[in-house]
Amino acid sequence: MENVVLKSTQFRREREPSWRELEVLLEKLRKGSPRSLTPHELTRLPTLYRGALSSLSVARSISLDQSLLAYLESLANRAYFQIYGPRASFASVAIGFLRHSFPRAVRTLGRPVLLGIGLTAVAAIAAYFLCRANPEWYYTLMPGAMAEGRVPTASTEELRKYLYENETPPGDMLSVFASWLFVHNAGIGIICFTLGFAFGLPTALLLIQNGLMLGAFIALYASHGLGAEIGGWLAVHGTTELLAVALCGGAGFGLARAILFPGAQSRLAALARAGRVAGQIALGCIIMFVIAGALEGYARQLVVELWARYAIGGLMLVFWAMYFLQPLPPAAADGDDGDD
Amino acid sequence: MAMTATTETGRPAGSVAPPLGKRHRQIVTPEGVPLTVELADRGSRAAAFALDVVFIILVLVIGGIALALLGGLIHVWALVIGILGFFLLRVFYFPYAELRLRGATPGKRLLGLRVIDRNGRPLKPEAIVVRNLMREVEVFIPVTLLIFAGATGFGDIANVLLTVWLGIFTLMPLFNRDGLRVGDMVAGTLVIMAPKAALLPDLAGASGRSRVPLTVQHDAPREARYRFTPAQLDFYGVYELQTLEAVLRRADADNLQARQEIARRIRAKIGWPDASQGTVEERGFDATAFLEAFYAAQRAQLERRMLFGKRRRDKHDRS
Repeated sequence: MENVVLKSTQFRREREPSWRELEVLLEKLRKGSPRSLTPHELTRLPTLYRGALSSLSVARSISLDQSLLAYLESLANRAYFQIYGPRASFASVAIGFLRHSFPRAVRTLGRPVLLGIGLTAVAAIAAYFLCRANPEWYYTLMPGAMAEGRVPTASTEELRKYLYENETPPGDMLSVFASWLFVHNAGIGIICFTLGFAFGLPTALLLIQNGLMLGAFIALYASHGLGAEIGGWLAVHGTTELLAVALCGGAGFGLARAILFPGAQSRLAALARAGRVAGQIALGCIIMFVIAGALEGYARQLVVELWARYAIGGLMLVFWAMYFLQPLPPAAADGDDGDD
Repeated sequence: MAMTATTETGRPAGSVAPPLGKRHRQIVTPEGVPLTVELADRGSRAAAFALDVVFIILVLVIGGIALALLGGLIHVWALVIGILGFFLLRVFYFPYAELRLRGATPGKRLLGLRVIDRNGRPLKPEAIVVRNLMREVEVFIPVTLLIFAGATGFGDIANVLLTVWLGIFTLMPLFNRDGLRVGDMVAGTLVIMAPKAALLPDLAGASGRSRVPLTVQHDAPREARYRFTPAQLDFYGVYELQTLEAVLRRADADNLQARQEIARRIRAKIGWPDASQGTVEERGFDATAFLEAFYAAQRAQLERRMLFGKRRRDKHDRS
């Protein structure tokens, strides 16, 4: 009976050349980009991958050769990574993201996003009325560092100066100012998003604080009869920047919702599902912060006519509304539904 | 969770993966074949992260020096590039590297680690972005707070509470079986060891222990010196077979003694040689050849049984 060739040995003999071929291709891919493969090799890759998977399945049921099983397991794994690894083209990912994924993500997490916008708005309105009723509130709501002398006791002229003669050196330093603003704001946005993991509480606090400061600030100027001017000053960049902060907060709430109310899914599965959508929002917001930084750093410093400031702010708001509410093609059905 | 150990039942025989060890998890490819992956250990992951941070710092230092040298000429733009460069590096180094290098930053690559989707689906760019954005709350905020603890304006108690709270985020990988950090949880990813295994020669398909690739040697005549009856092959199961395989695959010389001992025990257990096989001249007995012949015969027996649906786990498995 020893002269009979084992089924598993025969199986290995038949399949081994294709494993070796796949191994060579994988090694090439590991060292270089997919472009290092010839078109023929590229078409062979999926076939060989499926062949390796089927070999693994067969080997598991007919072979007891441990080293063969380990080898096939590893070969199938490595091929799987190459085939189902992330797509390398950064540009196409970016374009697809801006065209569809970002607005779709915002709409998918519609309610958390509205909560983010709502919290900011309610806090702003509350702070406005508090400060109009009693200017003392201003000191409570505005941390000293932010106020920089813009206090209720300042004269109207001093306050007006801040809106038109800016705190930055003119001319070429504007680009430094713009980039600093972008980095600062994007940092706040990312924190708003990531802290959603802590059940969303820190996110809510950050958004409320943001809204309170906004409301107190508007109230300060309005109390000196500069309501229209502060509106224009804020509108230039605020329509983009405040929206982006609220969206980041909404993304954070999306995480929190998945942790607190996972529904039918396991908590981990719900979190992974919400996390991807929320991450798209956070990424898109970083781009919004670039735009906001440019508007705040350049446009607000260069444009001083009130109507022009309102026009820029209004246009941006209309643009974002159209962008997020545009009709979108249905999401590609790629089975990415996050069910664990 | 999809990664719990599967039982022996409940799956079609063709797709049953071997039982999972503590460090192993199972993913199911889109083709429906379960693959076993080995979790990356936390130490390697920490080391990979440290390496990546070193790379970032290197780029920052080199870039900073270059900017400072150029700065005399165009200082405003040097400042802009510096501010933006630092931010972009901090936020996008990890996702960009993981996208370009198919799921591994340079640090991970050096330590043989890889990011995959926890369910075996394609790893999406947004998952990569999310898992790395979360580093902000896991690492950057706690580090910043530690450095500027005095400057937060909070009291000592508040600082301690904040540290504990953020520490939970940072140390999350220690609190779950899969070593998931917060970013992995949010992105649905898993970090594993990049697999590497070479194909060794088939012990049962070759005569002797030659290391020549199988394809050349398969027609060699089987060693006929040691033969076994079906009854003699009825003592051991898969576990013993694979233990024997591990012994035979070890090439070291001091192994000989162990082999002789194993051969002696097997002979005693299965009663070899029996009356029909005659006697064996003890001086001419080659333990290695005996074990290889026994391995081949035993494997043939067990594999044949397996084709009929009986997988004998070990020698105690009498079902």
